[in-house]
Amino acid sequence: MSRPLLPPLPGWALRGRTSWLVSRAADGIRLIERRRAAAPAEGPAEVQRLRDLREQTQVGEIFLAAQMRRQLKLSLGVTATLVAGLGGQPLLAWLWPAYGDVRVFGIPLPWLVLGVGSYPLLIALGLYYVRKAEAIDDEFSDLLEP
Amino acid sequence: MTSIPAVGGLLAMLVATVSVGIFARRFAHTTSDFLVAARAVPPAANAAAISGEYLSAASFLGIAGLVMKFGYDVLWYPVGYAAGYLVLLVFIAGPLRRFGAYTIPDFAEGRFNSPRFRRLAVGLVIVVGLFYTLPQMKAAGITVSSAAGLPYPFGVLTMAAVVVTIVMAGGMRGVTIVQAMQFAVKLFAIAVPVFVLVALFGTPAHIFAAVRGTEAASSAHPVTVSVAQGDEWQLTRSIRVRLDHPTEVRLGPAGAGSQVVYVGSPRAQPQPSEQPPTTLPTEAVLPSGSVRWEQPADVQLPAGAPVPYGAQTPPSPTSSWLRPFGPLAGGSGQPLLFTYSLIVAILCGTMGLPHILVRFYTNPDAAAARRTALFVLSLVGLFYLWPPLYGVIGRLAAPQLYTSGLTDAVVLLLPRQVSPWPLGVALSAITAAGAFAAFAATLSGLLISLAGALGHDVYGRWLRPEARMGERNRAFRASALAAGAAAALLGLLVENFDISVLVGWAFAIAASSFFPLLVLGIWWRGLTTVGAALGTAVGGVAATLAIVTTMVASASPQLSDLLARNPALAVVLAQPAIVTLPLAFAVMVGVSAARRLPPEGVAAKMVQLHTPDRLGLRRDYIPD
Repeated sequence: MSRPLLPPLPGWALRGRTSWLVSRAADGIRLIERRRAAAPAEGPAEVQRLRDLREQTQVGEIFLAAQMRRQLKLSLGVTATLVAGLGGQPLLAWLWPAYGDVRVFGIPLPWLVLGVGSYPLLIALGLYYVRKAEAIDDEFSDLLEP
Repeated sequence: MTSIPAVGGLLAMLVATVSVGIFARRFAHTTSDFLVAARAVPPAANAAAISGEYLSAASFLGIAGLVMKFGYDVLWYPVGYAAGYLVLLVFIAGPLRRFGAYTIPDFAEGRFNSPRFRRLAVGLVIVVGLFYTLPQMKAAGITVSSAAGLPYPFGVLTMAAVVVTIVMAGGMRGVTIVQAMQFAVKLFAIAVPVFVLVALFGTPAHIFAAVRGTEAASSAHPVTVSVAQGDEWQLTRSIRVRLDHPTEVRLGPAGAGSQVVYVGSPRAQPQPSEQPPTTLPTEAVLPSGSVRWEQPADVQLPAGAPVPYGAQTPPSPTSSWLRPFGPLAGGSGQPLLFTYSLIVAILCGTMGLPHILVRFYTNPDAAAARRTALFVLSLVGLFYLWPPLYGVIGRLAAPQLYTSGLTDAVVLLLPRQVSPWPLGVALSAITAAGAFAAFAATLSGLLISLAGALGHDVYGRWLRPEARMGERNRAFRASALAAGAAAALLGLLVENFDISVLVGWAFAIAASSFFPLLVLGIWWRGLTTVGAALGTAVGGVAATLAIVTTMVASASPQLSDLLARNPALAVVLAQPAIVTLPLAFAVMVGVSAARRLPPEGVAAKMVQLHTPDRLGLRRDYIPD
């Protein structure tokens, strides 16, 4: 651990168009973005934010906590959909035994739903997650380093 | 039972693998090259290599075999293997890549600044890794024995030697190229024969209709099964079989009530001449119930009658085989609990397998890691559509595998059995090559992880921290050899276990230890070192003990009696993740909350884990 923990702040990180307000609302911490329509590209606020993050000041931690919370919420949402989609099937079969006898095009429906239908669901959830996660990362990056 | 084309397929795959491995040898120079291919693997090749490594013998052979044996419930295995990648994608792929550690022990040490925790993680990696090599070794054994007619131990030992040689020669760069190629081979080898089989047997709708036609699995033609001394059969009703020679059998359950009788008639009187011509000269009627063969023999089962079930194969009437909670989950007595515990283990165990995470560091950044995981999800999903069909067709076309207990080999045996000659020759070669690709790819990935843990940690950090690069590389190769030898020796012991059941154990242990460690370590800054280490140890040890108890119970009458009276307990011991995973989470959260002492510098770790790459705050944990 003798090396510096983080690389030096790059020059391009010092320019920006957006400023941040951090508010502690009753329901938790919110990041409020303020766009300045025709403001100059330079602003001390952005420099300070990125430095807060690098040096783990209290403000920096609040920023990061908000970012983590957004990402975690997305992850948990995708997982909940997955659990409902897959985990609902044993429950359905348990509560409605006739589910095992339903056939579609001669193939038992439970086989089709689980053995074929699961994969499009997984890929769709994965695609949704990757897009959303990248959007959240981009928003966070834009706010600190437009 | 030698099959020349299958041997040819095996040899072709072997030559291809070794030559690509030797070619790649030129690029492998430093420890970094060996371990993560210097992070220069292009994304498409990376995703194909990850898929190639992930699709193990359990996917290629085990799923089809288990579907044939147990029916619908087994579909949870392939779906869970694929869904495990989604869980990995949404919780750990991005942050862990930003953190820039090579392995789970690297993460344990980097996140908690604790070399002792690292040692614990290394120990668990070795346990999970060895458990996961067992099914690969079993697949190697049955592939070689079914293709070349050679004994099971010969297959295990030769294949272990081949894979160890590849790993020692090329390291991971070699394996990246080999594994990308092997994904293509596996997908081709599983999908193409299905189309031929569908052309022969009709559409899936026809196949399911034919399966539904009889309540008991039965063959349309007379088929011959070889029995060894001591083989046991369960007959659901009396059948008339033909034998190659008269022989002794023991009727009824083992113990006092059983009787030994002599079956086959020549002793009494010669066969009447109006018997249909057959290679097997004598015949006998076997009563329903249990039959134990006292001498080796070839036995021809009649057409249209229910096939006997071997001792390792529970009866599977079609009506329950086709429906949820069939012989697998329903047989446990607690079908819902069993199903959910299986799902939890597979979904959460994927990310804890030692050879999976290491590949994610070959991505340049977190965004690439996420996209690679999504790509992998699509590739493995495409693969997993096919293996269950082999199981369904196998019930129809090769029901004698229920008798011989060789359901795990259905992917290998089905093409040989049902095709007209030239097609059957080609298909046997293809599926044998695919099976080789399956166990070789996963086994080499596992050996690299095990050798990494042994060479990088045990040797490079504890025994000889001052070792130079050349010595470290030699230590890595020696560790690969040691891990391969251990895997081969253990592999000799597991001939009678189902491949997918063996895999389920590795997943359950990984899910109960590494999953809580990774998820809480990445997403909860309040996790303390003591809490994380205790939770990992408690979860891993509890899951291992539960599984070992199940193995012991199969040999101990008192214990199996107790479990028979408490089906819920039996399910939890055989499939422990549903209890041990929450237990590990509870220990981690409880101990951490009680101590209230998160490790030093946790804020900096969180910045590393969660700051988007564009902001340029990342720093790799291990310097290149």
